[in-house]
Amino acid sequence: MAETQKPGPEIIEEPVQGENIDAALNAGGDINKFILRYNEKHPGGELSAADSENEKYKQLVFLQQHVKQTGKEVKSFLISEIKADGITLDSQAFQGEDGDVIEDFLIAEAVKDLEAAPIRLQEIHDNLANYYKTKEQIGVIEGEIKTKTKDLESYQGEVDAVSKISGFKRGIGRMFASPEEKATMRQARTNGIKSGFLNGRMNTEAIDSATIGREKSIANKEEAREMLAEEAKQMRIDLLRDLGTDTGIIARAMEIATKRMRDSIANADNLTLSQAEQEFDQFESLEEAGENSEINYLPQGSEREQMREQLDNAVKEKLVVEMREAVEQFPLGNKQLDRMEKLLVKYTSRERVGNERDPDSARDFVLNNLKLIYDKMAADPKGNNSIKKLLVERACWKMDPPVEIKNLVVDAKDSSRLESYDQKQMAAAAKSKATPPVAPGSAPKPVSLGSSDPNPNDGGEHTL
Amino acid sequence: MKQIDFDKLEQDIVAGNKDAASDMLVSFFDSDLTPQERGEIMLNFAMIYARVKTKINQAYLESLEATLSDLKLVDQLEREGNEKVDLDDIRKRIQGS
Repeated sequence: MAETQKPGPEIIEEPVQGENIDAALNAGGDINKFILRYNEKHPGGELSAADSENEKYKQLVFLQQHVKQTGKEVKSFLISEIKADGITLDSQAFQGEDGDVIEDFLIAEAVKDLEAAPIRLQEIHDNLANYYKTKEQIGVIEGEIKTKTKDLESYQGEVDAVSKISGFKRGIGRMFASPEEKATMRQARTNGIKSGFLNGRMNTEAIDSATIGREKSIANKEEAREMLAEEAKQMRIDLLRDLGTDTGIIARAMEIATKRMRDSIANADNLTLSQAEQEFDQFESLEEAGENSEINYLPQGSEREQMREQLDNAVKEKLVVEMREAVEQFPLGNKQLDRMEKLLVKYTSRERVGNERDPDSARDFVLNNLKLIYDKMAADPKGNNSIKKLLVERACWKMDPPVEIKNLVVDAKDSSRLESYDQKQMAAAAKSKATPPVAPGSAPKPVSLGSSDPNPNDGGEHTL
Repeated sequence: MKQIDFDKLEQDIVAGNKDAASDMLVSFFDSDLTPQERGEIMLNFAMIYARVKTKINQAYLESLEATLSDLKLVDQLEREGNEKVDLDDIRKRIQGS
């Protein structure tokens, strides 16, 4: 365990009583040191009768052991699995000693909430166990497939490639298909195999020719066997190709997804916001998948751009509608305000993602909606509107690029509070994003936000 | 604490944007983080990745199982075809004798 950065906590001499342990923990105690010292006093790790009654101590020992184990599991996962998967954490990103940092964090969290800690540790363990179990199952099935297709040497590599090179992407692709779609595709494949043998060439030509006999019966039998074997081989190759290349199940899943997307565009009026967002996200995922593949899952050129714009507009239209509905739900509670904030942020980030060409559009959206909200607040006789405003205005600095609240809306009474709030958030946003808060030449125009506020808490007129 | 957008990180991983995920993580890990922040980000990232990758692997596993099942079907149909050929051959020999 790495040394903590803070000065070590005071170690309690006789940590037998629960109160002492609580005191140590409350003082920010390091339970590792605490237990180490305790064990020194009780060599052999045996708890005395009195100690064994101390449930809190036992809990701490349990946590210490499990935190250590969990930290090792996570560290091993980071090193062996994630790096192997191609996500590189260069430079200082991951060092060996980071396993200790994870342990330290887990310890700190455990100390904060002893009751929740075992559950949290179990969740981490289960998550990793599921990962390894699925991976192991994949290894077993791939092994069986290899055994069954060992005569197809030239295609063997495709099975390897599936997991080693492209399994990640193909797995993602398969996630696009719904269970029903996957079942349909699966049935189509099975039907294809059955018809190949039972109703296809083998029955009508090969087996009949063996039955009728053109030359010697034994020759026809061998010929029929060869044809059967050839047919079966071709089917096995097709199956491996489906599994090992983008032309199989994944391509069909993509086709279905693209078709569904087109249907959604045609039917945009009836989509909910989340459905529209889902379709847009899927569009981007398909676009990304297409960039790393020989297959283009989406139309090219202007048609693709048009599709993107249509989906993007569908989302924004739904956002506008939802925003209007949210504004109408007066008096505004925290839930509505939180919802508004999310909508504002979503809209402005969408302008950034989908349309960098018009940054003012996002600001206009915010301004217009803030004005609506302020007008409503002005007419709202109840509630502390200052707080409500603050909640809504959080959206401004979450915008990308963020908008300075003091330039947007200044409330006479709250200006100092807003300014300090604003500066703090702006500084944080600027540091993390390293982008100018407002694009040059696009400073928001002064907008009067209207009437005086009847609520004395709200400080009067909103002006810029 | 310096905030990392774990939702965005998860989206990048799901979309297979490994470079973007790497860049985001590296930029955070290279910045000034306290050991606790570093531990938290490491742990959360590992959990997100394990969860997403398990989902992806499960989808892939389904395909593997379907392929294995299809291969078994091909074996079975080939065997049935061969039996039919053998049967026809025997019938023909009997008829010819």
